[in-house]
Amino acid sequence: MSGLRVSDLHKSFGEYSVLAGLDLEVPAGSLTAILGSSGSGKTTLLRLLAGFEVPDRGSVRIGERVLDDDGSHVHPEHRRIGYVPQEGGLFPHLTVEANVGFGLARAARRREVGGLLDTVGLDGLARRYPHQLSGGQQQRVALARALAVKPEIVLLDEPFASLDAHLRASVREEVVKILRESSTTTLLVTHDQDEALSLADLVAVLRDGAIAQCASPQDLYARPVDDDLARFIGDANIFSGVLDGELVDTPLGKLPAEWHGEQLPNGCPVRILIRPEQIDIDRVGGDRGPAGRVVRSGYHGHDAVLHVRVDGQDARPLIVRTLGSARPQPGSNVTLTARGRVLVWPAHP
Amino acid sequence: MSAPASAARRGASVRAHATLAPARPAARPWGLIALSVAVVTVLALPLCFLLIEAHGVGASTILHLVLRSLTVSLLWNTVRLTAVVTVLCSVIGITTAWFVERTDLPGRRVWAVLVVVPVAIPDFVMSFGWQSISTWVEGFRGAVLVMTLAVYPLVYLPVAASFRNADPGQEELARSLGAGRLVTFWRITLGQARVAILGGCLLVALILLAEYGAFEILGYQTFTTEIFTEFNVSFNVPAASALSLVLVLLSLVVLTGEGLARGRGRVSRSGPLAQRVVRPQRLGRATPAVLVGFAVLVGLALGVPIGSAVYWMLEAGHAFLTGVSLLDATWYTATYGLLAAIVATVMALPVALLAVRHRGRTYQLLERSTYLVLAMPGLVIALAFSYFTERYAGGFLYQSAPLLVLAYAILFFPLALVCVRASVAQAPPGLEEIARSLGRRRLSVLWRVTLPLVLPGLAAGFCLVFLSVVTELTATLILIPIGTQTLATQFWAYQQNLAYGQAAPFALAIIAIAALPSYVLGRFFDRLPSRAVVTA
Repeated sequence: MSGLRVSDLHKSFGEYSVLAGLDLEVPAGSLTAILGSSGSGKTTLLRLLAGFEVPDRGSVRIGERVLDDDGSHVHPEHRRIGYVPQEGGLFPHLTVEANVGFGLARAARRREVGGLLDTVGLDGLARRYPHQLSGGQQQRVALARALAVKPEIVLLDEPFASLDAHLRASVREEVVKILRESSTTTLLVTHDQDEALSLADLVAVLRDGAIAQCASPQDLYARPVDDDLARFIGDANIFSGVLDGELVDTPLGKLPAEWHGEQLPNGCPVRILIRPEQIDIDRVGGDRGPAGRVVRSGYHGHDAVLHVRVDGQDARPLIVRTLGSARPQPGSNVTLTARGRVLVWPAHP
Repeated sequence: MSAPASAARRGASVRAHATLAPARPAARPWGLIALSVAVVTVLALPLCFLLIEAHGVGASTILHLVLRSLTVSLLWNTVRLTAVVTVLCSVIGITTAWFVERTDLPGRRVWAVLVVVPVAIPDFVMSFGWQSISTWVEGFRGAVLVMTLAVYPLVYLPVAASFRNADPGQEELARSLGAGRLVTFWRITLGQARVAILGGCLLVALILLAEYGAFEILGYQTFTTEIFTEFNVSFNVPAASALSLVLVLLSLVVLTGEGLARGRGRVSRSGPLAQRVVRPQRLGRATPAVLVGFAVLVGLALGVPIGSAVYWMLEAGHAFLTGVSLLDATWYTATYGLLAAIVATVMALPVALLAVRHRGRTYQLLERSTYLVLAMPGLVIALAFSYFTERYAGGFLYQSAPLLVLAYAILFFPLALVCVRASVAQAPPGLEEIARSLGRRRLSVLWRVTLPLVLPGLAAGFCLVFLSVVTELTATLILIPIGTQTLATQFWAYQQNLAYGQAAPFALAIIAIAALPSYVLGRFFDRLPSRAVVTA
């Protein structure tokens, strides 16, 4: 088993450049998510990896095997990369059984299809046609079909986007479980941050035709490489400030700072990230931190998102996340304290 | 705008492009290109022959022959008939389609079949049916009546399909924006069906330009009847080829006109999955009147020709059993039809695959060029082949079965292409890519995925060509091998001798043979929309 290595990948359609120097490493056996807004080139990337399109420049390798490099291109049928499109893409004229066995030799078909259907929990539906299946079932058949040929990597193109919300969570879990059990290297494309963060070992954010950051979900959330990315992955409070040794001045007082890379000089102007979860609120009283007033309170059941205006500050209100059960109403007075280190980036000149 | 922002914006517009456009192939599909070029070459043969023929006659002679008062009167006859019948057909076709698809007309399913069946009745049989029972039916008025009844289904079929597929949400939206019923019908309903209406009218106009048998029976002179007479009766090749050139030009004008009128407008649905059932309009007290209208139409278009054929057959008693055996003619008709249908469909497949699956201006052009065959009436193709083989090929293949089958295949190629193309376009290209990512080679994918998916289109193309061959008369009269008769030619021989009793069984046999493929075709066009969403 081997991982995928993509370097300096370029692709344009006519004068439109979609991918411009994309580098990506997917470790063997991992589940890596490609996260990007619609139009960022996610689908193009998958189509290039699957071999449906030929890159203008750059290379694609699996382990030592070169799939694309200047001039050479391995055809889709020889790449050993499985592809599961958004709608499943089942062959409408073939039964479930025949769909799953499509890539297998005749002898292997009889032997293996039963087991594969068993794996995805559809052993009773072998004789059905795709249009007789629900969306989730179609998705699992498509997965079984891709796994049947024992690919080195499986590509999933927004596989859960077309499912109903209540179905999505369960299908998602099942699909990931199957993939993990078969320990197949998986690349999942999605525009859903939640999906990427909750499912993947690694999340690579695709932006402007290249990978902006590739990191574990925790790292990506806690230490994004710039403020755009911080806002793209969840809610963010972002301020300007000046670095004072290890500390930085914020509306919530002086807080310990951390940063990417080398030591930043004293007095360096910085941008500061405080995630809504890093802020604790207290009902009235207490002199532990600055006081503020709740201006908006959005209830989400499990939690609540508050907008709090800090006294004496004209800046936009802080976003604070708290438990849904004990949320303060708009207009109430609170005190705010921040927890842990805050991330800073040198400010753009 | 900063560089990353503009890059992002460009990225956004690109994605739409990338998902809409089918796969760019890794290498040029040389096999498909070679096959398609071969097909286009074969299709170009009649035109080349016609030009060689005209060249042999000489430009000055041609000009002299064209600039006669005869040409003017032929032009007037042809154009006025074409215009009147096309308008009538579109009115009847649109109205009937709207009643069948959009209202609660009682017996809609039955009417939907009965209204289409006249397409299986050859124009010359329709003409015979009317002319043999009434002397009023002759000349211009006869031609208008007979041709309208014979070809209006060609407008009905595409328009009905378009009404069925149209997004009803758009009509509701128009109403909510303050447009009344009539305005909505005119601007939205007809607007959505515009391409279908134009397509139907194009077919009607081209058929009128090419028709021979019906006009001969009715004594109405057009370009086609005159060319036939010049060639077959007077053996005046220069005059025939000069008039053929004018006729081809006329067809080109019609083709171009349709292309221009079609414009660049697109009819699209907002969501393919939002296939809602249209709530039919209530006819209420108008129901009896509409029912009477449908009954009259079916009576005139179906009842009269069939009734009159049956009448003449019964009138003749046992006499109709004499002469060339009906079985023999049926055998030849079916054989030629089958062979031509196979050849035309097989020819259409590579052209359709290349044009739909591989984006590229050259490929589109290659496909487009095949539609020029539409401008070549059957008579002109037949004359070109006949003259060329006799004059330049030393009689090789002259009046032989292979040449006849080839002429049929060329003549009806556009019909096969339309069907095959529709099916190829509906088969999602993503499936072929998936098949390849599962380790299948191109040929295996073609066999196991592409062909099964386009099978309905191949079957429809096959039926359409078969149907057209069975009801074809003009080219058959010229190219048929000596000593054999098809149903159409034998009917024609009897009819010309006023032996109506003997002619009648052949007419009925043609209708019977043509009815089955018509039914299959109706099913194909019915199912076209729903098949597109099978995988969703």
